[in-house]
Amino acid sequence: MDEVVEQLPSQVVVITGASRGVGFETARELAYRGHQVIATMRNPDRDGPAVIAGYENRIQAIRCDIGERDSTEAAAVFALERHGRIDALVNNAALLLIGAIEEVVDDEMHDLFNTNLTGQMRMTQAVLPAMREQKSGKIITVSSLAGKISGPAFGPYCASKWALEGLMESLRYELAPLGIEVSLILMGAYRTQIQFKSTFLTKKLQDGVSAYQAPCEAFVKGEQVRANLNPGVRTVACNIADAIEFPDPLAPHIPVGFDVHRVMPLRQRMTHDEFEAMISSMRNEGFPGSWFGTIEANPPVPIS
Amino acid sequence: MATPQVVILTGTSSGFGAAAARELTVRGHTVIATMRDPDQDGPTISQSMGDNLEVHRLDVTDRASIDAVVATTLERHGRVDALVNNAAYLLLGAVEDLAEDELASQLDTNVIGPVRTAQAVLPTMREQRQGKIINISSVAGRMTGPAFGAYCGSKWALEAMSEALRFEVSPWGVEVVLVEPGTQHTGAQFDNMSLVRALREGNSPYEAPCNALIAGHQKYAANRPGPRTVGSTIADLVETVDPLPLRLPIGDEAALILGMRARMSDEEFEEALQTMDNDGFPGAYFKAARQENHAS
Repeated sequence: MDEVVEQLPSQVVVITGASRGVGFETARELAYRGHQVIATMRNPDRDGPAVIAGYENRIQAIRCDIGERDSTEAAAVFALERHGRIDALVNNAALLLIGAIEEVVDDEMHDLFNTNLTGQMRMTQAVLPAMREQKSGKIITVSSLAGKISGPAFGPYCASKWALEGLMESLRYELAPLGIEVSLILMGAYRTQIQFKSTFLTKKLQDGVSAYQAPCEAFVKGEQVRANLNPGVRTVACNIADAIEFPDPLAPHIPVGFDVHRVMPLRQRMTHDEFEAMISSMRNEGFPGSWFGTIEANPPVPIS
Repeated sequence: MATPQVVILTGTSSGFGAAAARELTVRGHTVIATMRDPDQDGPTISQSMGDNLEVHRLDVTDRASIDAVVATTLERHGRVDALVNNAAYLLLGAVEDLAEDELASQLDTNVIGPVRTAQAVLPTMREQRQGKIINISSVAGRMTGPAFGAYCGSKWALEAMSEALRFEVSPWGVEVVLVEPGTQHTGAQFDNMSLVRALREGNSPYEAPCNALIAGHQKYAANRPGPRTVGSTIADLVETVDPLPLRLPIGDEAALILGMRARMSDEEFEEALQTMDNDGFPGAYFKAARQENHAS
């Protein structure tokens, strides 16, 4: 049953990838706060009920695959037909590819960018005509430290995230005169499902023939161990909901997570040589320590 | 005097690629200068060069052409000391106007292209326990602005890829370097620049600020230095025996803009860009956008 006293005007929010993780928690937090949520996902029959449960008059679960233009346009049409406007889009759906740059194949890169970059662009383009007419709206994209730093086995993924950051920063300038705001959630390490259900390995890794097999496997395992130890994403969801409700202009980035506040100043103030030396010396479990620890234990055979 | 190096370069028909290929040739290295149309563009760069310059066909979106060049290089010279990933182009247009195929092409050349060429030389470089992959980025690799989303997105992706690759291949003695020049007077802003369809067909709501930006930026670029300094810097990187840094900004514009980006907060940088009183990028865009808003 609803217990919320509505204090702010109810917003109409479209969210991608709402079947789990940040999308799921954000949909439910917004509904709790009294907003209307179009929770989009690839399989609403299977995953929709869990998102909606208890908020049947506030959340609609519909199908959207951001890899397909028709799908993104249909989601926007649904939101407008149902609610007459779209106040915010939360670009959240993404996938994680692990593997060495030397070994990633064209198809893997195309699929990765098609979801993580072009997909976000498609969904954004689908809602922009409505926002233009409204002369208002918020495009909130979920980004992370992977959009600001990069490292071994993370090359293709970080490339897609850095590209997304660049695209969204440009969009922010372009839309500002129209009264449409663009902001990026800079989230740190949390327990989401991305390290499990949305993680893909390059084919060479899957086949066990990678020249980087051992460090990559250690890395993936380490990341999963860490993910299970981290807090869940409720705080990220709350920050997104706050941004949607915020009456004043949004900052370009909204950092969430103590590790973000620790890493970003280092990244900004260190020279790259210093940053590189620091990253290379880490031996934590997960990114980046598992990689460097494995290489240290098993260095490539020296030439005779 | 540095030992002659075997260097493969992409996009050598003009600009930085041509300048670097010629400089390396003059310095006595073995230069495999590649381009998409050697019949048309080859003679320009091989003119008055010694026979240590070879011109080959290579299209960074075509793996077969890449593999063929690497195979020929190894047959003739037995090694690959450096790869200069230079081939790229600038796609200009607002994100809202960007068609999927236009974005895909931009990524295919500017990001996946360098990945393909690196992949082709890495097995050799790792076996040699030596090699350099020199990726031509730009100030656009660490900052962005209106109408540059696709291009800067592609260069930011190149930077992320390079940073990861650098860690991945350093255990084998292979180095990865990013060169970051500012605006120079090359074809990048002229015949090598593409506009999104929406602009070319007059369907863009961003037409006025984009056209002002293009005109202003081209005027600015025409007064900038040519590519010889960047060409010479790339040759220096090939010859350097000491360990190289990941990023090397080149020139006054790079020092200014990247310095600002590094020292300022997001908000401060954004404010600086939006209020910059210049006639090229980004001033021309924002002035035209403000005029349009006051008019409507």
